[in-house]
Amino acid sequence: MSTDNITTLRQDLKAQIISHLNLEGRTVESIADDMPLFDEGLGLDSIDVLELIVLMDKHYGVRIADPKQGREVFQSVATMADHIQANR
Amino acid sequence: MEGMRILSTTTYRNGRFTVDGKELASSTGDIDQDLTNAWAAMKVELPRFVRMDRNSKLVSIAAAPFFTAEGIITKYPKDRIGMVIMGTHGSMETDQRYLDQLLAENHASPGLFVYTLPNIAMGELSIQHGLHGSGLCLLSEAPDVGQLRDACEILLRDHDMEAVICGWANIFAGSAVATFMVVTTGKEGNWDNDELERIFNEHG
Repeated sequence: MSTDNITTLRQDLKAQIISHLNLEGRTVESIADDMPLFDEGLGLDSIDVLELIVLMDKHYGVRIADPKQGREVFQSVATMADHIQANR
Repeated sequence: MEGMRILSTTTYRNGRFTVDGKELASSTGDIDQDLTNAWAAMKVELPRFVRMDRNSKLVSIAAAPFFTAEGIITKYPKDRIGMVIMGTHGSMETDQRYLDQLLAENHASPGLFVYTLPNIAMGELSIQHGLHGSGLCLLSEAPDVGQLRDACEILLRDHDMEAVICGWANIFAGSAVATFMVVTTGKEGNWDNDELERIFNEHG
């Protein structure tokens, strides 16, 4: 995938996360590619992870089967995009 | 046991939010906007508020004044604050949304699913304020003051609670109503069935 494509994927992913998780007040521009999704980053919680799993499955056709894999995938938008790119 | 005392009362009636009689928010006629406005009036930073279901929003709003810096309940240990919340429909509105989404899209949002229990709103309160006390979630056709009194008395007497957030919360079919109070014990009680009936009749 080209740099342009991965950039587009990350932007799309940010927009989907904002929409699916109803992150009121957040914009695509306010989410850095490497910003942690949890705690001091976007502040997501365990329920949000379930939403992200559904989002990746329904919107990008990529499933997370192994919970251990989830820890690596859901670190940031960049890691999510990398996983989507590698698996769809 | 000693008498039971009401320390503070909040009421939310379709957008009009009052704390001990003082109005903090008024109705716009839009249920979602009203809930948002009432929460904004409390000036509490809670990012996940926008993602809660309406029942949890209503309960969070009605209880919020008790937990402000000068809130009446903050002097009690977090593990000695109980909850008794009664309503008619519980999570019915969210249950319906969940079913509608399931039928329309063949899957439902996990974020919606977690709110499909009537006592989840109490869980939200516990998480928000770090409460560890005992609690009861009760369903009733109308405010049952006798049952509310009994439940609060049991928590205060038998579960070592020092204060109880007690009240009525119901949201369904475009109507959102809550009346909450903080109850504790004291030599001079001001809480009997007549007083409770008066509060619920006055505030809905």
